[in-house]
This record gives sequence, C-alpha cells and structure tokens, in this order.
Amino acid sequence: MEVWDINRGIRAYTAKSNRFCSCGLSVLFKRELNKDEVTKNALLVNILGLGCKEYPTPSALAKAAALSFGSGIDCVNMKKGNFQLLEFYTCCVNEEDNVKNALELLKKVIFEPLTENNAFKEEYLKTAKEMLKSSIRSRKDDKKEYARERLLEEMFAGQGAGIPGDGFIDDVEPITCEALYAHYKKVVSQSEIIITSVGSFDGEALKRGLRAFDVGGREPKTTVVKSKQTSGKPKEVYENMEVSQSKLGVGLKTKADYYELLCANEIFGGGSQSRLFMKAREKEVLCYYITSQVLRGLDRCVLQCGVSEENADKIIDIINSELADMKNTTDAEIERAKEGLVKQYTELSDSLSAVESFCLSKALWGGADSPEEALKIIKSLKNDSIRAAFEGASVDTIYLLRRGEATP
Amino acid sequence: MKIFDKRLKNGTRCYIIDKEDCVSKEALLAVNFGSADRAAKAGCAHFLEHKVFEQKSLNVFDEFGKHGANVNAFTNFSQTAYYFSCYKNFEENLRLLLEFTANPYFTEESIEREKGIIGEEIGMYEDDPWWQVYFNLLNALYSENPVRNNIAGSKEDISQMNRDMLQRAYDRFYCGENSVLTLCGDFGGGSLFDLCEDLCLMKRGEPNVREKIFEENIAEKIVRVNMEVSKPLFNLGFKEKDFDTPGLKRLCSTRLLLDMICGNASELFERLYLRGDIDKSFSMEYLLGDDYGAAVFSGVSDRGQSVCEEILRETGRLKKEGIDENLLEISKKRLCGAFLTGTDNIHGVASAVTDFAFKGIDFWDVYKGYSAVTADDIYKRLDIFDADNCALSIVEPILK
Repeated sequence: MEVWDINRGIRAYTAKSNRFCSCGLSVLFKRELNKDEVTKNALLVNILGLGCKEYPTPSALAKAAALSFGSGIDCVNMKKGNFQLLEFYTCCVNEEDNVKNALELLKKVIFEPLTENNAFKEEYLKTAKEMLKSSIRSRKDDKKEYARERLLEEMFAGQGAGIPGDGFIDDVEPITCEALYAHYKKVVSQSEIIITSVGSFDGEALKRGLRAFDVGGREPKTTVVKSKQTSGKPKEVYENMEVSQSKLGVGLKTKADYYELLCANEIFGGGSQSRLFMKAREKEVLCYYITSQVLRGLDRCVLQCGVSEENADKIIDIINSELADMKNTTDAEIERAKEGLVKQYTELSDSLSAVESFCLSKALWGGADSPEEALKIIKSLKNDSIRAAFEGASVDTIYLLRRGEATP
Repeated sequence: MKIFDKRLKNGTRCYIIDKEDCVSKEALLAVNFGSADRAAKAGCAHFLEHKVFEQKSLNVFDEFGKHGANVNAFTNFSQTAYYFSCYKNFEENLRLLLEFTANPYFTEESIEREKGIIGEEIGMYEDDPWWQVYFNLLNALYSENPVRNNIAGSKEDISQMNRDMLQRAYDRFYCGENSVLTLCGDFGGGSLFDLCEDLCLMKRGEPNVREKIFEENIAEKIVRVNMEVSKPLFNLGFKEKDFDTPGLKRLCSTRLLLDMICGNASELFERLYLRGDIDKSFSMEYLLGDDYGAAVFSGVSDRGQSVCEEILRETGRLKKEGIDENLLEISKKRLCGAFLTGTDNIHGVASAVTDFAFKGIDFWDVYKGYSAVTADDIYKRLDIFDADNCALSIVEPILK
C-alpha cells in the first residue's frame, strides 16, 4: 500500500494489484459524527446521488457511468466509530480509459452539483428528504442490525459513536435548499478527503487523475475524535417488539491495545472456534449465532446473539464466566487464534473490498502500514499480553430486544 | 482466469479455476440436492448439511483450524455445498473436505441436539421481513412445488427429522455422479485433477434427475402479512412459463430485460425513485430452476401495488413499442461490467461456476451470452410479464 499526499488535506491510499481485473475507487469526506450535522450529511449524500450539472437526473448519471466505464456510482453515508464518512464509490473493470472516466465522473458528481440560485433544487431536496426519512424509519426492519445500533447508542450515549449514522427524523424537514448548499460548501472545502484506490490501474495516470480532486479554495480542518470511557454499573436496556427471537447485545469496556485485543477476541467470541460459540451454541444449544467484535478506535467490544428470551440470562452468565476465564487461555488457543488472524491478513490481498477496508482503517485509525506489517505485529504478540487483553474488561451495557408490545 | 474441467472416475464433475497471483485457495464440494427436491422432506437437505459435519472421532472445525483453514457450508433450492479456504496446506484441507463429506456419523442424540440449534436459526429467519416477503411470494406463485418451502423447513418439519431419514437422503444424493468439486486459486494450470481423482472418496451413484412438474397457475394473487416493519415491503414475481428455451438464454435475456425495465439507468426507475415510491433497496433477480422460475422485483414502498401496476404498464409499453437497441446496449455494458468485476471474488466465482455447472451452463458463456442477446430475444421474454402471470407479496407494518 502506498500513501500519496495529493494536496491540502487530500490523502490517497493506493494498493495496486494485478490480482484484480477491476479497480475500486472511493472518495470519502471525513466528518466528526455530531448531532448538529449528522442529518445534513446524510441528506447531502442522497441529493448528490440524484444527479450533477452535466447529468441532471439519476438515469442520465447511470447511463453516463455505464457507457463510459461500464459501472455505476454509489453515494453512501457511512458511520465508522466516531466518524461520519460521505462516500462516493465505483468499481470498474480496468480496461482502456475506464479508470480515467470513472474519476472524471466522480469529480463531477462531487464538485459540480445541480444547483439553482446558490441552492440545491427544491424538487430534489424533497426526494432526498423522503429517502432519508424512509431510511431512518427502516432502521428497525433488520432486527439484528437494529439491536446492534441500539446497543451502540446506549454504550456511547453523548458521544459520536452513539449517534445514529442516518441522523434524526425531526431534523430532516427544517433543512432548506440554501442551508444544505451552504453545508455542502463547508463539507467540500473543510473536510479531510480520503481516497482509496485498489486494483489494477496505471499508478501515474491515477495520480494525475486524483489531483483533480484538489479543487480551489479548500482549507481542510483535521478531525480527531477520542472516545470516552465510562464507569459504574452496567447499563441494562430492554425494548419490546413483535419478534420471534430475542436479540441480545452486550457491550464490553476494554483497555488493551488493538492487536492484542483482536487476538484475544478471536478466542473469546470471534468465530465458530471461539469459546462463546463452543459453549453457548455447541454445548448448551442456546443459540444459532453468537459473535464478538472489536470496535476499532473505541476501546470496546460488542457481542451479538439471537436467543429465546428465557435463555438470555444464561448467555449473559456464559459471557461473564468466559470473560473471567480469559486469563487462563491456553497456549494452544492462542496459537490457533493467531493462526486465524494470520490467515485473515494473508488472504486479505485477494479481496478487493478487504483491501479497501484496510486502507480506510489505516486512514482513520492508523496502525500497521500494510497487511504484511500487521502480520508481523500479530506474529510477535506475546502470549501473556494476549491473556491479559481482557483483564479489567467488564460488561458495560446490556441491550435486549424481546418479544412484546412495542415500546413507545 | 482460466477454468478447466474434467469428470473424475467416481463421476464427480471437477472444475479448476486458475487465478494467477492469488494467495488463498478455495475448494467447494456441492451435491445436487437442495430444499426444492421432492424426494425428501422439507428442511431435510439443510438439516443434513448441519449433520454431515458430525464425525465419529473428529471435530471437523478443529481439524480445518489446525491446518489454517475455515470451513463452512450452505444449502439453497437445488444444492448443498461445503467449502473451505486457506493459504497453506491446501492438499491436507482438500483431503479433509472430501473425507468428512464422505463419512458422516449420525446419532439420534446429536440429531436431537441439532434440532435446538436449527430451531433458533429458523427463529432468526422468522424475524427477517425480506426472507418472509420472498418466501410468501414463492408460496403465492407455487402451491405444490417444494421451492415454496423455507430452506431450513419449519420447526414442525425439523421436529420429525431422524437418523433413518437423514441416512436415506445421504445415501441417495451424496454420490459422485451427483456432485461437483470446484477448486479456485493460483494452481499454475489444471494439474490438480490427479490429486482430486485420488482424494475424491464419494461413492458412485445415480445423478439426481428431478421429476419436473410444471405448475401453470398462480396459487394466490396477493399475500399480505404483518410484521414489525416501518414501511411495507413488496416482492412482485412473474412466473416462468418457458422451460423449453435453454437456461443460459433465459438467464441472460431475462436479466437484461429486468435491467431495461427498472434498472438504475431506466426511465421507470427514475420516475419511481424521484417520487419516493421506491428507494435504494429496490432490486431485481431472475430465479432459474428445473421446473420453477420467476422474475422478481423487490422493494420498500407505501405504494407497492401502484409500483407493480407501473411495472406492468412499462412491460406493456415495451410490448407495444419494441425494444430500444441503445438502451439494450447500456444494459449489456452494465451487466458485462458487473460480471467481470465479480470474477475478482474467489468464493463468488467458485460458487457461481458450481451453480452454473448444475444448471448445465458454462461460466464464461454467461458473459458471452449477454453480448449475444438480441432485441428479438428480449422481446420474446416479455411474454411472462403479464397481469395474469404474477403474484404480489407484501409485508405490512403492524397496525397499532
């Protein structure tokens, strides 16, 4: 992976690889997640996706993308830890001028929006608002994901990571065409821009193409957000809904470094070999899925499990007892966990989306410069430091979505 | 990326997908037995998938872990597949895959235990509105065909599973002539066939020739259920009527037609999208089966029924005005582009090659097939888009 400083707050993370016949290009505007602008950012992504000056309708844009590089452009609002990312993405086959054409169209979508009188078009704002309201309301449709989001809200109440990534329904309507355009100007001129490009491409041509994203008048501000640790008794939150199966979410406070924690988490609840999986599913037959995931940049882990309500307490007991027993992790367990991570990082280079994620993680949280360096770090981890990774870790929040009349 | 194929001595069809420079390697063994097989009880193929991992004196997951591999499996309408990926010890892992799938060990005790786990899995799907709206559509399109059954079956179906039932299904379907083995990775060509020949232990047997029973009538025009959702979800399905045209041609032409009707670049998509009648989740697919099939539109909308009427109006317009060659070119570019970028995904390619193999379709022929489709082919496909030939499934919010 190479890091190119293009200019004025624009940094490109490029991973050239002939393994892929395609090239994934992503332009991301990095914002601090906060209540004041989260909804506007989400709305902005929606409205920019509807068309630009040259291609003023969704179908004109889609046709232009299909004809010039055989793909499309996705405008995505993304939440990553304490950050909100406004992403403009495409993945195209690396043929002839595809990459050049894709970059040109991305630039038009981002920097040449469809406006009238220094504001976004009223008609498009209305559509973008309806789309956003629908998206906010539909959060609860995917119960598993909803339970995870609600757990994060409770765990990080008052912090960026606790804010729903699509924003707030009550904040949508008051946004005017003028206010959103003013916000757009702020976002494009003041945000750090992260560009990831992964796949087969001509490096020099790409670099030239990326310089086009350095439009005039940019004065980017650095966005650094630190997570806060809370203390005290675990917070317990119960919510009712018409569900067949309860969805349990448990948040853990942790103190260890990322790679130690990643390795310990593999043993704890990271996959089908983990202690939680073996105990809760294979031995006690309490669930179909139980997983634990490290939240990068937030010093927390989240656990998710689909379970009958009457068995939820048993799962929590298993989590607590396995957590307490992590100090007794055996060398064999550690070796297996390390091997699992070595596999992940070794094979990462075969997956375009995994390399893109690695580039983005590097951009947001630093850490290893390349998957190869991450491998070295993982291989060099000391067994005792992995055993100690969950020392001092404790259950911070318990969230249970359970069957019953919906909570108002 | 090159694909080699050979029929092994035990009857297994073997594919080697050679992807230069890849670090990881994958092997996938699939049997031609899925949830839509009439010869077994609903949920049987999926239950068997879980239990094939059970061995007399071996923990399959541990063994793969020791050799640096991850193993997993899936069941769909027409197949059950077991696969692993690794970056080292490929031969040992391949041996393990072919050994464990050839030697399952069923006990009543472990079958009883699995009922609890699969019961929770079914519970997870019961809470998934997209899963529900899709299977309700299949139930509306088909009153008899087992494609209508949930892949995992119902809790009642699985309560009846026993050792004999699983053993019978295993003995019948898990055989060389009924299986496909696909390897994907940097193998430096197709030289691994000899190894596969040595390791493929599955006994010889009979291919699964399914009895084809074509159901012409729509079982129900509209199915509505209530779930905890914010907005109604809909699936509109047009039932396949033409089982004579080869699957490849139907697949390519229907996918192109769907993209022309309501893909991102279409006028209809734009109209519905700007009006807020559909959102980004709107999608389309063509389900291709032996004696079942459907073109399905799927979305979220307060006005699902009017969206469906607009789709019908659009297909009516195309029937009247014919196919615009320029728009067909755009759809071809979109689908060919997506096909090629999809080849970068090792698991995706291995699964697709296997799936197409069971359907008698060569992988690269799909790509060529898109280019070969003519406006005339597309026009003929419009035949299934008829008001009498569709069903609508809606999941509506619970009234409070």
